Amino acid sequence: MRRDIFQAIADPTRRAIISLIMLQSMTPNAIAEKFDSSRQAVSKHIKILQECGLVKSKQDGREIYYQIEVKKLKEVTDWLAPFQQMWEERFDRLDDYLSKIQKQKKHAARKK
Amino acid sequence: MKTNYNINKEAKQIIVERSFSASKDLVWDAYTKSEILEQWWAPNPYKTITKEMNFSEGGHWFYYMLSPAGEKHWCLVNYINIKPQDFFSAKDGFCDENKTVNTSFPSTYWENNFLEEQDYTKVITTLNFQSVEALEQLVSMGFKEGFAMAHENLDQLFLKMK
Repeated sequence: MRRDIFQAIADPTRRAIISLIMLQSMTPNAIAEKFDSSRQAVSKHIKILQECGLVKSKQDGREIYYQIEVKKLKEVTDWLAPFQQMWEERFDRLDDYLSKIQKQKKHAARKK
Repeated sequence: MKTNYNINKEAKQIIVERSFSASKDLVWDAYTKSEILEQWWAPNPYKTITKEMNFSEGGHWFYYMLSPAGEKHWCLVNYINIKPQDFFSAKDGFCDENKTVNTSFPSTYWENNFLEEQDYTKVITTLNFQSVEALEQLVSMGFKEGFAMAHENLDQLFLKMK
């Protein structure tokens, strides 16, 4: 079954798994330990992430390690980047406005 | 302050979460009063110019974004539901100077929730798209806008260099 990478990141647990193994590759058991949900539930999420191409496995002796497919992850972030940038700039301007108006209000209150 | 972006392609939604260090009434005003919206809404170096503003259920904000080259991009925001200080929803799209909506661009239905937190006000914006394609089109338009901006900045730079 072909999956969409956006399906992969639509779920909060899967996002958490991604941020976990972004730091270091991990065995399925080590990943499952970090979550309250059952091992089956976690491996189901990992399976979806693999099908989306976001996570790949590497055999090391007896253990399987999961790691991020950085190229694929970049597809997601690049896609959203211009949209994010537009909103970031927008929010920065709003921050500026809000801090300005609050200073003015404080100033006005002191004058009274 | 960090912004959280959450894409749910299946639900055709983008959810944007951001906190501001200001009281809820100030943040509410910034989102609902055109004279404040004009100060932060349009992407740089565009300017937001309001033609009509009637922030009420069934009312609208009719404005254009003015490019430094003098190009006008008309936009219409139709307000649907309003719960003062807490929530408003609206339909947002491009139009012409007669308020005729341009159907070749996707319109967006968006909801804004305003939450009071300790020292902060959190705004959760949910953008709902008609289709996954519409979602992609809007996001890629941000991309195009970015390019257009860069080009205009270059134009200005070239003018200065002359």
